[in-house]
Amino acid sequence: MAKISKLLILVIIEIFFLGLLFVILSTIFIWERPGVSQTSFEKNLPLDVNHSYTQSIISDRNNLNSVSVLLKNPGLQSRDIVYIEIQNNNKETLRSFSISGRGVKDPGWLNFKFPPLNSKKGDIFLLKISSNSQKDNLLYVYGDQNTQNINFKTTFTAENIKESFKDNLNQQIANFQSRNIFQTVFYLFLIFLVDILILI
Amino acid sequence: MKKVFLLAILIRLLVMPFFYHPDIKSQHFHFQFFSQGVFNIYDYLDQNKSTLGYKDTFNYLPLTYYTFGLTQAISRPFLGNNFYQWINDWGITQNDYSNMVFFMLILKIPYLIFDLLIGFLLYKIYQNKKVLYFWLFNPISIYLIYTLGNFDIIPTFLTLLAFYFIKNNKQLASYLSIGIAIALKMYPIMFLPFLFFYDKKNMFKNIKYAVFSLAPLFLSILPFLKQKSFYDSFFGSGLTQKILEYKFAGLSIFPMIFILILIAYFFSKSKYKFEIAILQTFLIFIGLVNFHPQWIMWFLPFIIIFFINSKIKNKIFFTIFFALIFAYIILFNDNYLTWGHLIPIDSNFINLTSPYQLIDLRTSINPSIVQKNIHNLLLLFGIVGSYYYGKNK
Repeated sequence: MAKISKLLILVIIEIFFLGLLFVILSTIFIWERPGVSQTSFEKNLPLDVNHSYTQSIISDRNNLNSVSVLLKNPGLQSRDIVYIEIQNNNKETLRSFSISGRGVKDPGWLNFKFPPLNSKKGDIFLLKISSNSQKDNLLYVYGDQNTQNINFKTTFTAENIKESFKDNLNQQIANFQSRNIFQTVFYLFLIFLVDILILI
Repeated sequence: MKKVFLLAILIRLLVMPFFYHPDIKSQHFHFQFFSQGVFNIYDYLDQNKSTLGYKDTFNYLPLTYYTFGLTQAISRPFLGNNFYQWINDWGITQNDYSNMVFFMLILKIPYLIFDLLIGFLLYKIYQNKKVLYFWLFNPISIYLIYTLGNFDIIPTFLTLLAFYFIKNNKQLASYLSIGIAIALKMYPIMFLPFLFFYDKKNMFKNIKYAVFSLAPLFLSILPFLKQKSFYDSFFGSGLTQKILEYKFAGLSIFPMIFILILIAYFFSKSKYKFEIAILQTFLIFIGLVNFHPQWIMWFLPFIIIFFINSKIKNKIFFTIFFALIFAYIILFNDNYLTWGHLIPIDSNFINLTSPYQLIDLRTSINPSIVQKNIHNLLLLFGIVGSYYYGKNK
């Protein structure tokens, strides 16, 4: 009986430790999570007064709080301004941002972080990118020539601890399901076996 | 005793899968080529640099490559299908592998074996259960071995084994052991003079055996001696430069203090003269070298005895010293040394604000200057501690 109690105590400590790592730490600290993205385009499209791009984004989480676009400033020569706007479906500007070509890498993701929009999963946004560059071929954005779609990444933030807990739980369940089940079972069995051996 | 080791194994099994540092990935990226039949990793990387996902050179010795190349080949069936996809992925999805927990578990099993062997060896050397318990349950070694996940634990074990052998008058075994350690990673060469002068009566006998301390290194690098790629890779690692970079009046300070420690060691009659010399070297090394955190492992097994057998004020000294080391480490502008360790649990940890970024963004203080000041404080503590332990033998 005493050994069973000790085994139970060991198992509870282990569950608490794993819970601390997988649930508590992640819930408390990870509020921002990546959302819908498009990163497969490898072509450079010119970005200047004559070439601007509007990318539609269907959000897959609540509260959009950042967008990133993949830009290229060859040889870091351009000092022209890049404008980024987040618009709603009615083309009303919700957030805007501008940066000198000085801040654009060759190439690199340009991140635009803003106070979270009070948006819901399924909301449609328009990501508009333009430049005041008068000359061709100074700044580029990575995208598709035919569809004019561009590479982008988004992040969404949890509104409160409850939402953070829910997001984290979904993430952990997805991770658990994509793990090798044989290895998971083997690992848990190994831990249990060592528990038993300690108590024998 | 059995239960103590089992409890130590249990704690390690709970830590091993869930902590990560990219060094283990970059090293295994290079080790994978062994099972593809590549025996000259230096030339191979030099010739294929443009097509490889990870561009850095292999900065370790050939024996390291063969040892871990073989280890990886043996563990291949247990690593799972997407292990090779993961070690070759250096793009934006590099941390999005849920099976990373199992990669970490399997890849760290050799470290677990050598970690436990160090515990066993420490018990054999000191016949003191407290030393064993301290080794098995102190968070510093668990952090160094299983969070940073570097292979330094193996040369550390071999260096401790060399000390065990020299204590038992087995010179040949001792020099051979440190010789293999040197062939795996160069740093144990620092410990060699202490072995050589351990028993002054047997110094001439030692000269005969000392050749074995360098034989494994020379034999393993012999095929590469004429290759530029080997020199470019190996001397790019930085330990030698880091040891020499702290200068006064144009002279490197660490080698000079090291010689002073060696002279004091030569004339010392203390029962713990070897450990004192290693402790002094450690205290000075930390203050004078821009060290990588895993380098602390080289010294740790030798300095435990001072923590166990010391008075409260010495314990306080060590606690402050290690707390400063911890502060120094977390102030690197490298999120993989803080939140990034938790990537196997959730890849989004890498995007959290590091202590360096937090200080930089929220205050007007330059975090690099704070880190530099902590390093200077470590140097001061190191000098005081080294002097104190040298005097109170």
